[in-house]
Amino acid sequence: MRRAVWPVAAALLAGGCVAPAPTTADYESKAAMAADAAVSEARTAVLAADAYVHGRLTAAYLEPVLVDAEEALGSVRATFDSVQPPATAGADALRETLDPLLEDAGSAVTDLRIAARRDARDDLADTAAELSDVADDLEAFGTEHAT
Amino acid sequence: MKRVLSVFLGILTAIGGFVDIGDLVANALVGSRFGLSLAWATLLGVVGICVFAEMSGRVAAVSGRGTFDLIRERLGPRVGLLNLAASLLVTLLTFTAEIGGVALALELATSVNYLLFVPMVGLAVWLVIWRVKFSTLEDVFGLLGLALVVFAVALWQLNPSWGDLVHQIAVPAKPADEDLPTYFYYAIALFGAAMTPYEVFFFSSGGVEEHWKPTDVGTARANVFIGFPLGGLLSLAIAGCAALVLLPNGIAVDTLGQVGLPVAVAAGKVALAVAILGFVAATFGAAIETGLSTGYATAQYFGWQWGKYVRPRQAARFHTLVLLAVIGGVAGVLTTADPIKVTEYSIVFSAVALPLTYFPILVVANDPGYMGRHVNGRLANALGSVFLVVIGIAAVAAIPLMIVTAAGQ
Amino acid sequence: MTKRPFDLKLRLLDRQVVDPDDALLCKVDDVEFEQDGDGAWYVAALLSGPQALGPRLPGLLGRWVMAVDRRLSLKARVPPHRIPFERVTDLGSAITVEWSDDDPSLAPLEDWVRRHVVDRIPGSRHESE
Repeated sequence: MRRAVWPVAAALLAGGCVAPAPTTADYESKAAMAADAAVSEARTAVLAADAYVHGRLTAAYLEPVLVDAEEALGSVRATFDSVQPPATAGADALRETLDPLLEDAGSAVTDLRIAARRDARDDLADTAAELSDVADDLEAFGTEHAT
Repeated sequence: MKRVLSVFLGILTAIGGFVDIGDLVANALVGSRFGLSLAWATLLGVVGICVFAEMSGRVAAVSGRGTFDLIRERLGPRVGLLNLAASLLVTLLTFTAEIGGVALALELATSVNYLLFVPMVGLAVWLVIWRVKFSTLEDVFGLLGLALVVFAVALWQLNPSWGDLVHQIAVPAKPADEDLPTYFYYAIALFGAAMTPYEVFFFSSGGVEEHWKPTDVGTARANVFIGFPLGGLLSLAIAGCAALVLLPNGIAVDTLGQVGLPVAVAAGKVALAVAILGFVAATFGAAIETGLSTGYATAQYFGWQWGKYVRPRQAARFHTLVLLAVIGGVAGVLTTADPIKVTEYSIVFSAVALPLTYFPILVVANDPGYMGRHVNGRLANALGSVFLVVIGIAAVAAIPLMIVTAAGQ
Repeated sequence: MTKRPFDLKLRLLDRQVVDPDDALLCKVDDVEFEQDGDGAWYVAALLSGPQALGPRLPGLLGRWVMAVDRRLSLKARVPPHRIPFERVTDLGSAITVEWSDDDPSLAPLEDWVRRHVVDRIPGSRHESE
C-alpha cells in the first residue's frame, strides 16, 4: 500500500509533469493519457486542414491552429519520453508502439504546417489523410490501454 | 418610443456583453469533453447572476452607491479589506486573461503571434477607458459581441438531433471516460464563469455611472432578466458546437482556435470571420469592464472619487490605479503564461471569491434604511438565500477539487 | 430628533462622504467625540484618511498604513483629516457635508497623483466622448 501512495503524491506535486512510473500499469496509464492528448491535437490539425481544403477556413486561421497543434504534440511526446519506463518487457513494448506513433503524428503536423504556408492544397489533403490514420491508431492505442 | 428603444438596446448589449473569455473557454472545453451533460451548471450560474445582478442594480439605482462602498460599510474595514484584496486578485487575473484573449483572437485573424498584439491591446484598452463615454463603450462592445450569435447559427447548420441535445441537458449523464471529481470540477468552472464577481461590480457601478434613479429599476430588470439568459443561451450554443464537432473527434479544447473551429466546419469562412469579430468584441469589452472594475472596487472601498462620469483629473487616483492595472495585465500576458490556462484558473478562483461579493449584496438589498419600498421581496430573498448556499458549496469545493483532479487533467 | 438610539456604527462609520454636488470626498474612517458642559458625549467631527483608518485595521497592517502615510508627508505631525460635524447637512445612504476648495484637502494623495500623473496625460481635462 505504501508504494501506491508515493506515485500519487509525486504526481500531485509535479502537477503530473515528470513523474517516475514504477510499475508497468502506471506506465501503461501514462501512455494511454499521452495517446489521448495526441489524438486531440492530431484531429484538430486534420479538422482544420480539411476545412481549409474545402474552402471553409482562412489561411490566417489555419496556420496558428497548426502551429499550436505541432507544439502541443511535441510537448506530449517530450513528456512521455521523459518518463523512465520500468524494466519490464511490457513497458518496453508499450514504448516501442507508442513512440513511433507520436513521432509520425508530430512530423505529419509539421508537414501540414509547411504545406499550409506554401498553400499546397493537394499536399494538405494527402497529409491530412495520413495524419487521420495515425490519429486512429493512437485512439485505438488509448482505448486499448485505458485504465 | 425612445424609452422602448433604449430598453431594447440595453437588452441587446446585455446579451452581447454576457460572454467573455471565461465563458468562451469553459463552455467550449466542457462541451468538447462532457457534451451537454454539464449544461445544468451554466443554467444554474445564469439564474444566479440574474438574481444578484438584479439586486445590485436595484441597490445602485435606489441608493446611488456601488457594491464595494456597501461591502465595506456592512463588513467593516477589516473584512472589507480582505474582501477587496481577494476580489482584486481574481479581477486582475480575469483582466489578464481577457487581454490575452483579445490578442489570441487577433492572431487567429492575422496569424501574427499573439504576443506582438499585447502592448497594442493594452494601449487600446487604456485609451478607451480614458476617453470614451461610458454609454458609448457599453453599446459598441455589447452590440459587436452579438456577433457570437454565429455559434447558434452554426449549431443549427450542424443539424443536430434536437431531442437528443435536450435529453443531454435534461438528464445529465457523466461520460464514462471522465471521473466524478473532474465532472464536478468543471461544473464549478462553468458556474464561476457565468457568475464572475466583476460582472456585479461593473453592473452596479455602471448604474451609478449612468445616474440610474429608482424609476430605472424596471430598465435594469429588463436588461438582467432578458439579456443575461439570452447571453447564457449563447454560452450553451458554444458548448453545443464543441459537443457536436469536437467531442466525436476526441478533441479536448485547449486553444481559442479550437473554440472557433466548429463554426468554420459548420458554416464556413464568413461565419468564422464573424465569430472572430465576436471573440475580439467580447474579450475587449470584458477587458474594459474588468480594468474599470479594479478601479471601481478600490475607489469605493477607500471613498475616492471614481467613475467616467467625471473628467479624469477629478478622479485622479481612480485613473492612476486603472492605468497600473493595465500595465500589470499587459505584463502578465507577456510572461507568456498560456492565456487559456490563466482563464481556467481565473474562473475557478472566481468561484472561490463569490460569497465575498454576494453575501453583502443580499444583506443590503434587505435593508429598508437604504432601499425603502424597493427592499427585497420574498422571491428575491428565497432565491438569494438558496444561491448563497450553492455559492458557498462551490467556493469550498473548488480548491480541493482542483488539487484532486490536477486542475481537471 | 426621535428617542430611538442612533446607531453610530451602522449609520455613520464607513459611510461615503459627499459634497452637495455629489462629488465623492472620502469615507468616514473614524469619528471624534467630545464632552459638553453637562458631561454628555457628542460626535465632534468625522475623521478620514490613513491616520484614521490605520488604527481600525489589524495590528501590523494598520501600523504600516499609518507609517507609509507619515513617510509620504512633509509635515512632522500627521493628524487624520477632520470634518467638523457642523458641516454635515444630511445623513442618508451617503453623508453630505459642506466642503469647498478653500477648506483643507481631504485627499493629499489625490492632489499629488493629479499633479504628477494624470494632468501630464493629454485629455485629462476633457469630458469623455
